[in-house]
Amino acid sequence: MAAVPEVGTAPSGAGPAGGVPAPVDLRPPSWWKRKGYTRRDTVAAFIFLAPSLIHFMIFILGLVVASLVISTWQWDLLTPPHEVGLHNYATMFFHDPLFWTSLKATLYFVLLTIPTGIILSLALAMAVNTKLRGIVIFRTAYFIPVVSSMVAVAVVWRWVFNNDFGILNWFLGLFGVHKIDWLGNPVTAMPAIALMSVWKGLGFTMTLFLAGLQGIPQHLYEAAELDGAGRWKQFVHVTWPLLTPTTFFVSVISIIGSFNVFDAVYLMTQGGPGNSTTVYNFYLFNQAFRYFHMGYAAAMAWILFLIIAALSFLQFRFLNRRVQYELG
Amino acid sequence: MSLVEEKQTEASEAGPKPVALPPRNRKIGRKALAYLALTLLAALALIPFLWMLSTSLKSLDEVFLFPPKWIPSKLQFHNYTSLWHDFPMSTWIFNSVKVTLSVTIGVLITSSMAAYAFSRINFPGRNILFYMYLGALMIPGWVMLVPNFVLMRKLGWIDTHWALIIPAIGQPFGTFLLRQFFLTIPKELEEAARVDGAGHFQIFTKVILPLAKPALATLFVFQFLAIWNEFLWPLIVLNSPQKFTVPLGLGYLNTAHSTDWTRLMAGSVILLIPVVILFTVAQRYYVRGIALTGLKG
Amino acid sequence: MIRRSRAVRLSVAVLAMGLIGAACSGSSGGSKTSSTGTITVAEPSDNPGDIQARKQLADQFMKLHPDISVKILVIPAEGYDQKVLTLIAGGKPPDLFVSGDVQIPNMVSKNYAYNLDTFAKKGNFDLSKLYPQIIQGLTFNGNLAGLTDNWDTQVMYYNKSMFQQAGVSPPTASWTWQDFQSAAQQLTQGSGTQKQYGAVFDPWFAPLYSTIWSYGGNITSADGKTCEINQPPAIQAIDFILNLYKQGLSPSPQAMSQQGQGAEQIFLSGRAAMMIGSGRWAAYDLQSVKRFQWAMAPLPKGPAGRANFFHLSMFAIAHNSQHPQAAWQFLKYMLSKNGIETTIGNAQGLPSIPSLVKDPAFANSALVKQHDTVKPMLQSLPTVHRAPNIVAFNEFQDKLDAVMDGVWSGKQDPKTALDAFCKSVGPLLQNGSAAGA
Repeated sequence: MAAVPEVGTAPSGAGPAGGVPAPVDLRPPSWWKRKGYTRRDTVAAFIFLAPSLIHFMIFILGLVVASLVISTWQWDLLTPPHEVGLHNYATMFFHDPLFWTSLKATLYFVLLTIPTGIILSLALAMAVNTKLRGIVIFRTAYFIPVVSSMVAVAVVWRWVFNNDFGILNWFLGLFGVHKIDWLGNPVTAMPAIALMSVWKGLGFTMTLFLAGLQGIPQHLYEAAELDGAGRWKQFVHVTWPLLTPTTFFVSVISIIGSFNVFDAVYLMTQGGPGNSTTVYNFYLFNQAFRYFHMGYAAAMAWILFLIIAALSFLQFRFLNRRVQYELG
Repeated sequence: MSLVEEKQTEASEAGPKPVALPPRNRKIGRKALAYLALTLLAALALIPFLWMLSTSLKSLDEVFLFPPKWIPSKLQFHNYTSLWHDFPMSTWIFNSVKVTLSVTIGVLITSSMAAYAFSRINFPGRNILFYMYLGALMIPGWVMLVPNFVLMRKLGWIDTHWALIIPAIGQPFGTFLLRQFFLTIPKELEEAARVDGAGHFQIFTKVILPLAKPALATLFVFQFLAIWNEFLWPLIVLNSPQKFTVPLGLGYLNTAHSTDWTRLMAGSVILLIPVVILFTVAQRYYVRGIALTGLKG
Repeated sequence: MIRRSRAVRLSVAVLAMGLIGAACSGSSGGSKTSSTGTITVAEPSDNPGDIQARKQLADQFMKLHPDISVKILVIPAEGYDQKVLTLIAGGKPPDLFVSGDVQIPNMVSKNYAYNLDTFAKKGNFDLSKLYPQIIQGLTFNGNLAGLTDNWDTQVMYYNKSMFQQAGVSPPTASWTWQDFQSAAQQLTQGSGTQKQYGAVFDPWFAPLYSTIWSYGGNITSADGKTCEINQPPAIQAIDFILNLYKQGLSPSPQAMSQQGQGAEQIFLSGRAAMMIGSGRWAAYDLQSVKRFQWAMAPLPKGPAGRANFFHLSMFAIAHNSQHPQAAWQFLKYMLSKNGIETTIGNAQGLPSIPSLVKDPAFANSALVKQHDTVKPMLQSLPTVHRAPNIVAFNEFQDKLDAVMDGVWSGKQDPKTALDAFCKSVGPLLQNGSAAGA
């Protein structure tokens, strides 16, 4: 999103009015010359674009529109669809408690993962942001969970959380804590999945923070040190404020990521016990491919889209203002 | 973001200068502490994988020992071979490789071509199209899930690998990533080629692509990992076990044979091997690309 | 539901996957009738015995019908019904597919399987040679959704050795739930890991429904439109089960999940004297037990008599099959004397055709000779109870499972929880879906 302002500064110098559609007339209109367009270039451009653009029109634009249409249907794929208008949306909001349960479960998951993830990954980034021999090896280690398939990760974390012989209970047992059936108890199942997710995503957010940390000019620290600021004061007065855009960026990305949670739930708890881990997308999946309510699932997907779009918009606004503030 | 990205590459090699020079012994103490912290965290990150490896070589009795036993008393390689015996493991691996490479190469082709048009050619409609691509990055895949399934059904692609390949070979994210990189290639190089009579196609293949190798590598690694690990979409469109990819096959084992720990772990190891190899070899490219993934909704 | 009812046989199930592609491929030569071509038969992966038997059946069938070739498609048992439905909805239907009793109302109302009644009439196939209960159980709104060569029902298993040692008289066909409970009390001994439970009651829907019916309760009204699981008889039945857990006579579902052991594993390892929650299929796993003697008995009776869930794992022909006639030919062969003799030695239930119970192919099979797994089944036949007529069964059951998790763990009072449940599934039952118009 940060790249949006760059569009106008492309090296070949596209004008701000570049959004005018290509003409059907064989002769290029006169304004083409002003913009420096030629027919040869335009034809070449669309040849280069063709594979991607055709794909885009079908598999993104086409599907998004289709999704909107399907969301106004009642359709089980087996019998012909019924047009029901906004009925699916109305049902969702007013007659389906599980919709709200799943939304709440997702928000709970977001709440569990985001602050922990942010704090831990910032701490980790600060630890890794030093000139130590072999630091690359450490970074690789932190990355293995990020690039690993959730299926493999879920298998091994089912063992970590296992009541009888899992390592977590063994470790807690050293401190005299009684065995906890992490994934089998409605109170602990969600925190367990959140813990696993934080562990898996840490390397990713750490890298984003690292980039942010390395963008902070060194002279600010030097100045702070001259003023007698200790490590903590430096963090409070230099690092944290200057890192705000990064923190915000990381938060939004992480929240969006958390809203997309599915694989972990599907593979570890199947939404249970007692719907305690039935997150939004798991419910959406069930609606579509277990109960075959295609229209309802499409409507749910659109609500998710709106939530995520709102978050992205928020971030876009914030970053824009931030950039302006810094320039002004 | 491009700023962050450039910073990132130099950072991964050197890191910034130390803040100030503290007294020597304090510095050593701090370093030791830093190493300790780093090692502890690395251990936390890796322990589950070590356990995976160790369990995959244990006998079933040893799995259930408590406290856990880390080194198998006798290495049970038959946990691996029996996977091949009882499941169409070779087919799953072949399917995964086939789908992943097809998609990855497809994405590289479509994205690099589109990125070339967006970054090097001046044409009407460019900005509006580019904004459309950017906007698409914010759309969660869940929106496309149902209509995509319906489309696959219309095309008769349910339970075929076409359903995994064709919808995935275009990626606005890939176009965006490559465009950002292409923009940094100096225009002079291209003009020199043009003077020699090169057209867009020559410039694309002879000038831009060779220079863009790092960016192409980044995209390759990203796509490869994403498709190799993909679970949800194959789960929806594939039904017969001969068509399964490795994650789907393992996901099936995970639910149907949830206590068959040794073989589950062996399957996980198999699933992870290509990922770990690719990541270790191409870590640099992957890390560089991360700064851009934030754009992926 | 197939997934659940056979989930216990996973130990050997892995073999099934190896059979993929081992499917037969006969010639598809001549084309004198419309009933030629390749037919695909979808089966869940968790019953290797069935798959093996079906493969044999297919081989024999292809010898008789060289113009039809049969391919067995093994689909993972987890989410099997959804996968089959996805294939049918996705336009790639298996011609014949295994489906379960609880799917019948959905199948018929969504019309995704042929009404086999018309095939039978046209093909002069006498349906009355099957048990009438089976035809009734497979029929919904006048549509015969599928056919099966065997039937199964909920029964009880008990550890004969334990009963002898404790001097408790073993279960009889006239036992009531009270007899069951007092025997369980006498047989419960010890504590901790050494504890011997009087019973293990796995409260998944088949035994749960059976108990509710035996108390005179219902899951829904007969038309499937009104939720009745919150009515007094049903609550009494649930209280009865709950008491088994509260009094420590049976391990609770939580305890079972914590130990990662199902009811059958607990019974197999000799830690419970009685087991409720399985059909005849469990006998296959039990036959290898050497440490103790076991036997099968009909379920105990409730205040309203005995009721036992009727497990019918049947074959249906997909509505968009390319070769419905060929599929019917195969189905007909499966139900012929020859066909049943081929598969019955491995079948989970009893043959669908009464006379074949005495057939040597069945009567001489190991399970019948060494353990009496026929008489208790036949005693249970008059009281079989078909699955409730719920069109949106999967959705209904998912919601109920979530509620019952809270009830069995003692966190929620049954009456309150089920009142809320019935209220929430009202629209679902009325319209066939929560998103209904």
